[in-house]
Amino acid sequence: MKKIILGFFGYFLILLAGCMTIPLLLALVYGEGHCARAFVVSILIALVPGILIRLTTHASLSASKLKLRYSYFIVTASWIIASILGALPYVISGSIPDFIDAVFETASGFTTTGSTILPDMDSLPKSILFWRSLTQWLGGMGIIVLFVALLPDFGIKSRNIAGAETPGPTITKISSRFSGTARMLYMAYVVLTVAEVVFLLFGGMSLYDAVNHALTTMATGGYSTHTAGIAYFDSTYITWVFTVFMFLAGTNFNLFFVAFQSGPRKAFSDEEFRFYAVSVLIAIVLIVINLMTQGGYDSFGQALTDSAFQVVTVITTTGYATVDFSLWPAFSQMLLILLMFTGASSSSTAGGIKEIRVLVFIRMIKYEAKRILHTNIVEDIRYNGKKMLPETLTFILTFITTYIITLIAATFLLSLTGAGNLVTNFTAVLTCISNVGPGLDLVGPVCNFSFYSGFAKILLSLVMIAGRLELSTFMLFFTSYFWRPEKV
Amino acid sequence: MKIKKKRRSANRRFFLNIFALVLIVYGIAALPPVGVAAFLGETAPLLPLGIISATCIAAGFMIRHFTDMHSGEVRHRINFATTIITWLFILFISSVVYYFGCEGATLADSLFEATASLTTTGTGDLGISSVPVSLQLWHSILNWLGGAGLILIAACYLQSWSFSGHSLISAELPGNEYLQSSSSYRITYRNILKLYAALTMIQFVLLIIAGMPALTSVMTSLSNISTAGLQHINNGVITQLSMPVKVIITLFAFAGSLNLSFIVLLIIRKARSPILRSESFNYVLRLLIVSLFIAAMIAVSSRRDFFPVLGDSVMQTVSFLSTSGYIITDCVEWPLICKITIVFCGFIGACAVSTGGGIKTARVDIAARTVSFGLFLNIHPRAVRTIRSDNKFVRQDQILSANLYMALFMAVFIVGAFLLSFDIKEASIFDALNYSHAMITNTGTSICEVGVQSSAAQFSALSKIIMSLEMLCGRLEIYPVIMLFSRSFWRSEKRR
Repeated sequence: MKKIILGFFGYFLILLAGCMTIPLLLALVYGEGHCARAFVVSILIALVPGILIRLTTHASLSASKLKLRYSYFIVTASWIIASILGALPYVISGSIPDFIDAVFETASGFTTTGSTILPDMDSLPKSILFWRSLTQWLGGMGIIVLFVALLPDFGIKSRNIAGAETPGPTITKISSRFSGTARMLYMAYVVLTVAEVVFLLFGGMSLYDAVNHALTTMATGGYSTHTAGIAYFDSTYITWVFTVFMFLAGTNFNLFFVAFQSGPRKAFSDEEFRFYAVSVLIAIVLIVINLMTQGGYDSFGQALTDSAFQVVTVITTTGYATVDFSLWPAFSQMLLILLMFTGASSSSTAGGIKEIRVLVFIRMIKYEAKRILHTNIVEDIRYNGKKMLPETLTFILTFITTYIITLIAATFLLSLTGAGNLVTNFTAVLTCISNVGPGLDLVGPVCNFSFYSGFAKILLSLVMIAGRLELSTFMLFFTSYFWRPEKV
Repeated sequence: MKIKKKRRSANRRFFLNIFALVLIVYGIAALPPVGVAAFLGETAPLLPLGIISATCIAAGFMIRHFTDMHSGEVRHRINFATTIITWLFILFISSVVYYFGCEGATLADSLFEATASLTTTGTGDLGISSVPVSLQLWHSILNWLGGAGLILIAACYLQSWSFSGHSLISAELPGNEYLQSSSSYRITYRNILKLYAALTMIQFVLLIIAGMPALTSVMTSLSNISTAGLQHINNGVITQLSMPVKVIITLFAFAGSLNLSFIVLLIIRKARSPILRSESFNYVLRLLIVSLFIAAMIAVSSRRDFFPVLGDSVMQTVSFLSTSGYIITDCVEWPLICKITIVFCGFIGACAVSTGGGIKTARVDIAARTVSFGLFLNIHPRAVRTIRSDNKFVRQDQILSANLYMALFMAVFIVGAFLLSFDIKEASIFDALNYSHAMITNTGTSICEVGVQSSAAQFSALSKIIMSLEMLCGRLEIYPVIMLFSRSFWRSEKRR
């Protein structure tokens, strides 16, 4: 068993080193010598142990023999390793000299959170900024999903492993083999990324900026190559391109295939998608009204553009900024906080609780109210016309409870450091657990997380990873069941 | 058609039966403030109090006289309708007393104050400590009635329980699913009420011995046992009181927040579960841990002696865990982490079947165990395992209900803050979260400025109604209020 796990990590390190070669090439193209050196050293640090492990273990890479708990171990450990090794180029190149800061930035990248400790992005080397964007794109669909897509021989239990990092309660099978499903998901991901690059180029954006932003949009990450974020481009067209693609990135990716195979009508009939679309529309309308009445906006068009962009960027947990929404009226801010909780669709690249869970939660409340009124009632809770099993309902509720408890516990621990205030710390944890990016007050859209201590940054990095891995995968690490499986 | 008519008639008789009894209890409860107003010559509150008291007693007896009180069993829907309509009516007439009794009070202010009184939320807009004494006494009596439950008091003294009294009271008693009983529900509820009254009396005697004036002792006893926040003493900021009085207040706020049905069983020596496995023990444990943590943080940050600080910490923690919300120490000066800790205590709240608010210890414990259980299932998906609480196995529907309630409580908190935020023009979202927390937990004290009693003066009438609904949600455990807005609740059997 140990050999299989080690063998997996061997391959994983090689894959990570392979990913770093892309920014290395860019560093060479742009003549950023010190960055090229940093990438070469980082690649060697990942590649050499990777190859050595492969050579010494000789284990076949099959997940079929893996027990469930080892699957969780592999996923959580992979994300932690990726966050640490991914930080090396920042530290070695001197772009982020402090190692903990660099780990925070990398974890924020891989988990597609988009929170940053960097005060100024414009002065950073292009290859480093590209690595930042690439970490988000890799993390968006999932590093393990990519692994499974590239290595179809991984075995039948690969679904368990990939499922532990896929956002949302279920993975729908599009192909007969999970590796096929993973490949098709990545195909849709690549196609949408390329399409966004093309649309952004039409808006007059440079190829470098277009690629970087397309990578971070489709991953719902939110990293930008400019300190001012999307406001830097000052273009309504570009803002709307981002809005549309963020919305698509927040949609269940399986629906693209449903639309392709059975027509768009079938995709539109999906209850989660309808709930997601209606939530976005209602939020936009409410914020437009609020901005026009209390927010000092005179132009309806500007209010619509800003509100649509901010609503979509928050609900999809992307976290870009065109305006400082912490200066908006309290009503709009509270609405955005609500959206940070809900997040977008399952099996998308977004974080948060997910619309499907919110939808089922609302139905459970309705059912519970009916059950209290009519004690003998027998009624099913249905989703997309199918009866939801009691175990699924319990899992959904357990997730929400875990989310609340983690949010409160992490806010408490963050406050122990003495930094910030209640709203800052609460929204910092909320934004990290939902993988959004900016919070409110001292961690607002025009601020950063640099004022937090090392302990706080490590804590927030772990919260990001926990949020990205749907909590339970990560939380298992801290239970006695995980370390002592014989304990029942 | 005939059956339908018969059922409707039975429903109506049932509702009138309970409603009339509540009116009589309410009218009688208003008599002491009427006497005080007459004795002290407080003319402004005398008239509304007198009229309301006389009208309620007369109307109650008239309804009972002219209506056939035998209704038989009714459906749960009618129980809930009875509870919520009775509460809304009592809130309305209580607000009328404040409206006419307090100078300059608007109808929204009065409704807000009445809701705060009956839901035992330690807040208010009228500044109870500065209104006439008879109204202060009235406020404390409303606290006491609300703490016990209007329906519970009325129904305990009904001649017949053939209408399934347990389901009626379940809509009003916080955490009713965790009620512990060794005999019939009727006897259990009566015992709980007796214990509640006895604790009030003992507290009153002790406060008199500790040197508190008689009338203030009465008001303090009534308000404190119902964990309402002692608004009649400096609007809930009671740092100036003597140490013996503070200790008595702390002890009885703590007693009021324990599972009263369990305490009854302990007293009559019929408790089936050991104390060490009870919800109340978990509550005490939580109280000690929080107090020790806060004391340690204060002692370290301000270099003070640990043990005197521990005393302060225990007293203030009891105030928030019991959701009383009074300020008994200099907690304004506490470090941020201590304030945050104490605010989270408000969310957890007291034990089930107590006078306290919040999510309730039993539910939080079950939710925490469900999380652990969920993680366990990730590793052993086919395992069959049970969750135990209070030394008993928890059924699947109870597990779902506890988790659902916890999530719903937090959802109401966030949605409440969202609705309130529309009214905040100058202030930040701090205030919205602040007030939403204070209302839903029934503590009535603000989040970010623990130590500063909240005043809802900055809010519009609409926001005060929203806050009133939140307080009701906290007191009646959300579902009755949700049902007010549900079609299924209002539609007749056939149409549904």
